[in-house]
Amino acid sequence: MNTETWVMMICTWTVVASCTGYCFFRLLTSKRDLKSDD
Amino acid sequence: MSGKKEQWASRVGLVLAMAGNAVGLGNFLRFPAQAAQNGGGAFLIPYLVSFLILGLPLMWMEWGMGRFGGKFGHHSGPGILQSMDRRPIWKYFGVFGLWSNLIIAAYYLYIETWTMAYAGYSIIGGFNPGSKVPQLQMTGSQFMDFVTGEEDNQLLAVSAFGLALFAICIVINVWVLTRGLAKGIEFVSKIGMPLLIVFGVILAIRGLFISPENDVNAIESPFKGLEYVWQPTFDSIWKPNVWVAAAGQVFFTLSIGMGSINCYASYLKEKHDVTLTGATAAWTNEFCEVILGGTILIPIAVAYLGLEAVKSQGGFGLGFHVFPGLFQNWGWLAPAAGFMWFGLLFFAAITSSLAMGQPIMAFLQSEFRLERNQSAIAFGAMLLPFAVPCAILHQETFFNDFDYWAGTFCLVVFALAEAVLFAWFFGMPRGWAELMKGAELRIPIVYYYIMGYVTPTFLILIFLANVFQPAAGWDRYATGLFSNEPLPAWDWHKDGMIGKVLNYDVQAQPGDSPERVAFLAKVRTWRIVDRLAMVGAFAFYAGLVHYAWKRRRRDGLHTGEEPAP
Repeated sequence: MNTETWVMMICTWTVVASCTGYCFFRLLTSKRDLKSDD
Repeated sequence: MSGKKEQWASRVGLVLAMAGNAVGLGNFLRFPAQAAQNGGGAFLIPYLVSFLILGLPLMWMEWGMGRFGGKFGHHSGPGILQSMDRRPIWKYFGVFGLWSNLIIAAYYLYIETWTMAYAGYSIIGGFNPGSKVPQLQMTGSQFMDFVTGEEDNQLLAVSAFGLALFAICIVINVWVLTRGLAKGIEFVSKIGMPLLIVFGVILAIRGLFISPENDVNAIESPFKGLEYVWQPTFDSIWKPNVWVAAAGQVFFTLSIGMGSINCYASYLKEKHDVTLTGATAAWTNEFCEVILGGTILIPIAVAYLGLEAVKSQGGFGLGFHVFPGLFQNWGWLAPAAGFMWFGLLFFAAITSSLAMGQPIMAFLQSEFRLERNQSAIAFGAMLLPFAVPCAILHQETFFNDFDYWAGTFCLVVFALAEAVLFAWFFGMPRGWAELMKGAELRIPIVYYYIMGYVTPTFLILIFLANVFQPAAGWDRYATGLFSNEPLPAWDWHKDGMIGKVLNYDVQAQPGDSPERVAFLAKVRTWRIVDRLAMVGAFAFYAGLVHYAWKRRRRDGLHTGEEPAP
């Protein structure tokens, strides 16, 4: 694979994985859950 | 109104159920083929832009609308849409949120059946031409014919084995639905989604270790396939066709416009967050699509078949017809690899098909006081008249037509209605305030304007591009307007709405055999039947909604049509 392709792939993967990871981190470390909010 | 009120057990369970609803066969079979055909890595630019200005905003809108409607005891399209504006027409737009789920489930469950059959055949050592047991020597294509009973130019396609499995698949879905949200859908998603990701990661890693040096049957490096998917051709981002394809992929991958997201979110309370949970579900879908989906199918296929052979195949053909045979190159791992691939597709499918049943069940429960079991069985019964023709007739008839009208066109119609209702009738100030209630993730203020103007406009463009799709594609017309290039003569594309109405996709072509010509004539006749069936189903649900609202008015229950206080 050429450099351009590697850069494109890694950049996209980084964006997607970071956003997914960030959302899950926030969700799993949140003190709120459906029952405590009731 | 009936029995105990349904609720989700945990936020993670809800996210996995929502992500499971979104992650479907398209993530693994459609996305890589779409990316490769539309500019490779450069496709990801319009794709991600579409995700940010179309996918995420629509996700949040549907979550917000669902939670808002749930406050008044509405858990399905008609009530949720009607609760947001007094004009009585909205509940009939909401009928799309019931109807499309029924019609899509009719053929989607049949595909789910295939994944189940392929997974089972793989694990017992099937697809192995060297097997000592003749019954285990079928190729992917032969097994497909065995499961579907389909033959060229034959209208009837009956396979006793396929029909029996189809019945089992419907029973499994109905049974899970009878268990309710927490013990049924959420439980299946908590098992299915992690397994799907684990299977995907194992296959992707094993696939990338294929090497022509170590594997006698490999002819290319799998990285050649990755390159095919990801090589950016930046010219392509100026082509309207690529944007339409990218927006379409984002739209369909997130399961927007089906009414199932609103339905799931309607079981939340006002103080429950929808912004973070909604974003988590959407990004989880992107993880499964962009990272896993882009790394399995095409790289493995290219390694064994070569790039040119793969270019001529669609994702679906590769996944079902070709892939089982390719796994045979993995020796002792072949049965497990086949099982993981089709198991992954099965989990992707079942978590989506369950989401199709829930809105219909919720409608029957809240409007007709049916218990959970009764409503699940009623869903199964309503499904049969539409599912059986999909399974016993050639796919060119009910199956493909349902896929286009319910699974493609009407999703855009319903999502457009939702976006216009949320942004322009309910109003962005109220809509934004609704989303912010209990929000754990602050949505950037720019989304106020994106949801208010960009998303509905983008959807209108997608809708028009689909309705009037020209045979030559939009690129020639767009570039022709700004140059001296002559515009091509206008004709309808066979996959556009008008082309479909005119049955352009099932017209005889020069050189077709007399059998094929006669077969296509029969297909066109049966398409009248399947379209009448779809119209009948819509009229049936609209009638139920009309009757239910009449009863609501009589009983003094919330209708959504009351004058503002």
